[in-house]
Amino acid sequence: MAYIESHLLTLVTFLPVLGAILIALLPRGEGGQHKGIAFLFSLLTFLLSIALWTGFRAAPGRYSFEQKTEWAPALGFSYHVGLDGVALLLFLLTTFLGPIVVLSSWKFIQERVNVYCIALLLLETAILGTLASLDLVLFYVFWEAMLIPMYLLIGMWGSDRRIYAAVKFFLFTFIGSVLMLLAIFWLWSNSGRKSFDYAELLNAGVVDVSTQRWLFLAFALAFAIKVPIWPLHTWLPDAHTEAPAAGSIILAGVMLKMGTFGFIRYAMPLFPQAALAFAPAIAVLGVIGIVYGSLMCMAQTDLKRLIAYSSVAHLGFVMLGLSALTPEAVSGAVLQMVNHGISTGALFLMVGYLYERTHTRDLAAYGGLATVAPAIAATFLVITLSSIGLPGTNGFVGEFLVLIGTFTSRVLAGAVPLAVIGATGVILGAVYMLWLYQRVFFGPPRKAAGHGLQDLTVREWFTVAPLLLAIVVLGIAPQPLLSAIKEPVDAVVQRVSRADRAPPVRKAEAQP
Amino acid sequence: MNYDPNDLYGVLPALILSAGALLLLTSEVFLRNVKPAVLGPAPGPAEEAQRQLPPGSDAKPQAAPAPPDRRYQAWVAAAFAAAALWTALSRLGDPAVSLFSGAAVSDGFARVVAAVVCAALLFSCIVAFSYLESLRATRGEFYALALFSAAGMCLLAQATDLIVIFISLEVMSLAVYALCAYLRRGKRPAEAAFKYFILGSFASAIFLYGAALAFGATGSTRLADVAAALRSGGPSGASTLLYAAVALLASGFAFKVAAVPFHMWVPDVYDGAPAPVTGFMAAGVKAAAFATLVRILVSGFGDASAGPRGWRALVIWLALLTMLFGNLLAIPQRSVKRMLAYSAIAHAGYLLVAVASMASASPRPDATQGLLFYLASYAVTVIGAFGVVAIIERRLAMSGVGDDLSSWAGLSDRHPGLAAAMSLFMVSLAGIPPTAGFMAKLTVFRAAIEAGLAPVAIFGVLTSVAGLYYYLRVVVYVYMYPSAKGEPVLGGRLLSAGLAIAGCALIVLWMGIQPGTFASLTQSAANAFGR
Amino acid sequence: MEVTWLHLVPLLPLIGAAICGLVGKWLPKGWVYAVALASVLLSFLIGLRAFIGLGEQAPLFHELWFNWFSAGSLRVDMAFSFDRLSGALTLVVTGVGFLIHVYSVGYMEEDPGYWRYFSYLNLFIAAMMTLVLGDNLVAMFVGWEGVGLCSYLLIGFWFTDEEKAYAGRKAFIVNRIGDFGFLIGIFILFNQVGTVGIAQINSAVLPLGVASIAALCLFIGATGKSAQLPLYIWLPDAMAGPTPVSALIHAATMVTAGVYMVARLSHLYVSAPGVMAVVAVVGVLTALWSALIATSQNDIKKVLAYSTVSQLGFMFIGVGVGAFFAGTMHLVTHAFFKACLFLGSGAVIHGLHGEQDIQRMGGLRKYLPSTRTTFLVATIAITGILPISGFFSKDEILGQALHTRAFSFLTLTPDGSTRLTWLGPLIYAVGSFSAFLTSFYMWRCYFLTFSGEYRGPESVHPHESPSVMTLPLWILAALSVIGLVLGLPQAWVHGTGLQHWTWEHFTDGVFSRPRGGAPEEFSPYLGYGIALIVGWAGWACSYALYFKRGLAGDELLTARIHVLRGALANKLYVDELYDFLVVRPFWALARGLFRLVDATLIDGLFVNGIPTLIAWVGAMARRFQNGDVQRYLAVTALGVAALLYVFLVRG
Repeated sequence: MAYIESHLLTLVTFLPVLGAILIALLPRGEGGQHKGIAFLFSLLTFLLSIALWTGFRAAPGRYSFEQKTEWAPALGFSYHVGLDGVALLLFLLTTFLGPIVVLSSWKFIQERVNVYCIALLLLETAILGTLASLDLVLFYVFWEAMLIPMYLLIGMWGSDRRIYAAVKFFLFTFIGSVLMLLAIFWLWSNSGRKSFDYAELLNAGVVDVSTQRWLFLAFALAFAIKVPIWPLHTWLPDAHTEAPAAGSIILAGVMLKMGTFGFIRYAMPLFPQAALAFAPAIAVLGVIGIVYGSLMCMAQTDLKRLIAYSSVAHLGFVMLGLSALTPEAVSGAVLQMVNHGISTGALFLMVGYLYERTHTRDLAAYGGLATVAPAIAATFLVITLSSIGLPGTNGFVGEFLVLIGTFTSRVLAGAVPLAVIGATGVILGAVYMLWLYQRVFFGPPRKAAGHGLQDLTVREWFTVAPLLLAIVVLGIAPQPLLSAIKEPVDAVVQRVSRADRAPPVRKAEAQP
Repeated sequence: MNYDPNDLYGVLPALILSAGALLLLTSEVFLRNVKPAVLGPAPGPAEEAQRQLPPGSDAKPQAAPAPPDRRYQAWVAAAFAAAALWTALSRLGDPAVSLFSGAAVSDGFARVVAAVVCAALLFSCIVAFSYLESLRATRGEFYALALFSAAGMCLLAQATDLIVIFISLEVMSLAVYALCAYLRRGKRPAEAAFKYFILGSFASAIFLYGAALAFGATGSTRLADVAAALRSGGPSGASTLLYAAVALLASGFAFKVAAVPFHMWVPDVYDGAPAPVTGFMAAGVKAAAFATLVRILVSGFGDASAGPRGWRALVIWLALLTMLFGNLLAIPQRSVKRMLAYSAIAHAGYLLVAVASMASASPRPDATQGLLFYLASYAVTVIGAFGVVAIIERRLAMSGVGDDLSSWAGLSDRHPGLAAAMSLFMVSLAGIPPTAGFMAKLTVFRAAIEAGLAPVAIFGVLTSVAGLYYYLRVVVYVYMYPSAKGEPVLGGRLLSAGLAIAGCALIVLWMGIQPGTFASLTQSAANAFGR
Repeated sequence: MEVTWLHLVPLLPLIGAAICGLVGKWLPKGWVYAVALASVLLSFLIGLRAFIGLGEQAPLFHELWFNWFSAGSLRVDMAFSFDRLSGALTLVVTGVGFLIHVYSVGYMEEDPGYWRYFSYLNLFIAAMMTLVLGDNLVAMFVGWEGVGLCSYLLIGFWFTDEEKAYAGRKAFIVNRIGDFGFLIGIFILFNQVGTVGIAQINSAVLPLGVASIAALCLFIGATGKSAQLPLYIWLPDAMAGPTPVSALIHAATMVTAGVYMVARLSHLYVSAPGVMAVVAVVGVLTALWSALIATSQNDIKKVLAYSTVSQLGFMFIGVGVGAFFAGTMHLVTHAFFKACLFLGSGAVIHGLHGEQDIQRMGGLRKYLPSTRTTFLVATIAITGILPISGFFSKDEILGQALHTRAFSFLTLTPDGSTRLTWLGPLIYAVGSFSAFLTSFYMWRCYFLTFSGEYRGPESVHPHESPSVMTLPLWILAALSVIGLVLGLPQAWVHGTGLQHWTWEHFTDGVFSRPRGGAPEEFSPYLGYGIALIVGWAGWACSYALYFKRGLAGDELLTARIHVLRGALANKLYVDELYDFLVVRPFWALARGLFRLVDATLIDGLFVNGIPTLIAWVGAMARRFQNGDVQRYLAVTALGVAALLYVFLVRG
């Protein structure tokens, strides 16, 4: 039992891999079994991860479920995992979406099911590992390991331009991360102690400012592409549009958060002064993301593309909040990460179901679905409302905190205008989402609604209901989440916003 | 010239390999009805194979008694390779001993390289077995030549005297030339071998000239003496001569490791040679050549590394050129084999970065470690990759289609195992975790950063992004394109090749997930150049 | 006084909404009605009990339900406060709401989506109560947005009609523009005061600048929600919804939220006199503007809609000139008679099987007697030709405007003389003219609908609505008469029992006084006289025009002032203007940006351009690799030569 206690995190992280191996051993072509196993394992992962939530103890400067064992001493990195509040939330979000994702593609994916399931499970582990790891090399390994399965998901089960999208996705994200790798090495060789351990590097203090800037940029590029921050976003619409529903859900649900998570976990605490210096720039880019992303949504005729661009806008809020460096804004940003995961994930889920039925993503073909499929219309409405941040749904609290926190920020230069412009996102969000909703569901039934369109099936209800529940519950009772993330958020805000007043920084010692 | 016979233990791997080669050759004598072994027509598919041979084939489809069964040779060769591998590994940790009064050395570095070479040979033999069998092309020389070349490689890794280096170099090279030309069918193998031979001898000449200059500058061909001379007198007096020597020696081996601008032979040769041979070349020759290059530069001319005329700058320049053009040229290739040839060039560039970061009289262990790790991981990966290529190529040789990406389309449908393995190798070559390739890049680039070569490292990773593109393209074809209609399914005899490929795949994963084990193996080797 | 039952007021309707919405489809009809009505009635009763208890037990009830969220120094509670103002509003909302629920039972009889309808309606009550009772701006904002959502859902209730769906969307988005202002207001106040609690904000001392900006931003929110210039455009279209909805949401309750908010934050507003002036001016302009448009509308609901906008303008005059009690009083009385009018029009439409054009009505007094009577009472109330509720509340506003000192604070010049004193009287004059127009168009509407002969098609046989619909009419009519009590001047009721029931006395101490001080006591008689004259004048004009002639009156008018009337009939082309100036350019901008930046610049030039370039270079370099061994030798030799050159000659 004690063993379980101490290895719980590792257990949860690698459980999906077990499933993947099991599936790999099975004979090909028995879809039911493969999906069944995949579902079973993802569900198991989720159930186990609940223990993480209940057992989580927030403590300043410490990580829950911490575990550190030798990995490759000869190469100087170790297997070190642990969770703080922020990581925990995203971790749970991932495990929560896991089973939903598997169920969502039950009917849609019919060929090469085994590969599909394996990719899904490996992807889940990669994401969980990225969140859990406290060693930079370990982190990087998981970070890159995310790419391959997603690449396959997009490329093998996507629609027409899937290969272009897949390659674009891979190259974009890879370019960013290789430079981060070099920055990690630089830290290793210049941070005083030859170590990849996050905690140690954090305590090692900060290298001199000019270097910090370069390192920060290297990290930031990797994360900015993942987020994605304007103008590095163009891989996202393609990837989302071409990917199968499950891929889009994971992509929007958790993968984009890896970028924002990277900022709050690595880029900002490791290089506080640089982060402080670059905060205004990032905030501006975030605001551009909000406004520009919303405008892009209005220009789309493709259902999935529109929602993909809405992600750009939503994550613009997150970046704005992170760079505002006030407790309110940063906690809002973290909350917004979770909320966006839920609401946009749900949106892609519903769009996936629509696509299964109509086989078109063209908005012009839709219309009047509310009459033929009221249940879909109702659920979609709730999700839409959460996506435009209506109070009472989860979407509101995050956005509100981000904006009010930014507005009151004393650290961020030009906070007030940024917050005001950012707040226009509230209007624009309503404009494009309601336009989309009316286009699809209102009016007289159009082509897509023609051939007797089936309403939500029981299986689909099982996937949608948890998300709806989450939307409402997190809208009414977000406080537990906020308390969970309070400690790390305060820490990073302290560290970064006071960076300019930090004690004289130790110069990076010269080469031997 | 007197020496202690015990020194022979130091070169045991080479001895074992040579012994194996001799054994195989003599065994030929006892085979019945030895006739000029050509592709005798076999019943069934071989008939097809005959008819679909490419034009210019020298095979005469005449009825002749079936050639003697030579399957045992592969396994004998494999056994010897395994034995040599074991001897190399078993004495990995032992202290370094100087052999033959300083003409050679048996240290951790050499042993690791020898181990890599032997492993490469082992896998290549197994791959070659099913390859040659299915082409009905098994002939006596093949495995003997392979063993000889491997012996040459092992010696090369150990040699510390320019003369010895030259001899071992030739031992290795001649055998490899012959192997390239082994498949006599068609013009291309012969042409490839011929080119390789001509250019190779040119390079050897350059190397020899360099050696002569070195002798002139320092009065000795022993690397130790050279180093001593450098340190005592300093390169002051004979400096020009000395630097010329360095440049020539370096370019001699720059040819062997296929560094730009000495790379021109690579695509044609890799393309022309039979896939298993290509794999062995890419793995073994590269390893041995790099080992020697490092030996010469570090333990010979270690003190001549710094400064604008030092070899550090030279190697850096070579590295930059090689990384750039290797990747750039690989992008437009549609033949997987040629693509791998260019990728071999590109990887030579990354290895040169490691060499550059070793540039000092006593290099930091991590740089050496990086080099060795990279050599090993590249060896297994590339052999596995060429193993898969061999299977595809074999089918193509039967169906007479040219090697093109399109023939890989939809491989995952027909052979999920092969597809997965090939993708794994591609991912490893691209340096993406969790594979050996990633850990290799990690060690090398970390060493580079540590050595203050950050700009070079940045350039390197950026070129590796370009590399990603063509590696991924293989995955695209294998997994994302539907298989073309009416493709012939692969013939049998997949088993042994499959074994080898699976072995490589497992090692690639193992080195990627558990790199510590291998790294600790190379601990002692890493300090080989410490003083 | 801290209590634990206050949250029931919004919670009960919420539960009702949940039940109706989730399972209502499968419940028998009666149950849905029962749930919907009972939940509202219950919260009304709770409100009533609290209201009665208010006097003796405590000045206000307060409940901290739960801490919604808190981060950093921000703490947002779900907390409610029930004082005289919010209490009275509670009664109005739940009471009128209940009546309209009852009415809807009859009105939505045939509609298959009735369960949806009642769910939305209950949800609205819940949201509105949150808005009214919320003790901090964020909680208020929750209700603020919630009612917006409900109006969106209910306007687009018959969503298969693109027009209606569009109207709903328009309403929501215009409201969001207002909400944007509201949000910024909250930010500013939090930034200044450090909390979002209304009580704390009302007790804080704010520098003029901050107070002005905050008040202005919040007022933008009010113009959105309460359909003032320039954001009123959504309300007329909102008539696409079912008529009871128009009565409840778009006349009686939701649209008055802006007024309520300003009154609630009276302290903030009086500390920003400039904004007070803005509020009053916007109010009077809106009153005039929409009254003008209303004179030329032929859709009975549109007439009422514009009349609502105009009346809201009056309320804003009230709060703008610092007579918060007058503004809120008009809010209450207006809730009564306007709800009555809308329900009446609903009954008419119902009786004519969906006919809304008053050109095809007329002579309905004999077909729909009780509807006609109640409509008449309500019309009298709004036009103020007889001293019942509307008369007093409206006249109070105008009187206060005439004598106001709200603006003098910022208009005091160093030498003590005051400028801007003309503003009050001006507002009074324009307001009175608007009152005249009000009387005119309301009577026009009445005459064209109920007097004269029936002009509709033979096929349609007008009939009176069932009692379940007429009963609320009567009650509301009665209320609009009784409502006069609220407005009786202090002088009349001093010392009598009625004194406690006059609104001014009742809300004493709830609002803070304008900086310039309250106007000194003035005798209302002159004002009453003028008001009566104005009201009767309006009646006379439309009587002369329409009572005998009917539609011919319009033609007569058109003949006189052709252009103006054409413009008015087309709502002064405001929608077209906005469409041309805002909507189209915006969407064009979006498409343009997409094509230019995303498609061409980023993707075309960089993302796809660079790989193409690399591939091209690779292909070029590849040309060189042509298998010619001599060339290979040459290159190798050159390489050696280059090395030697670089490292010997140059190095």
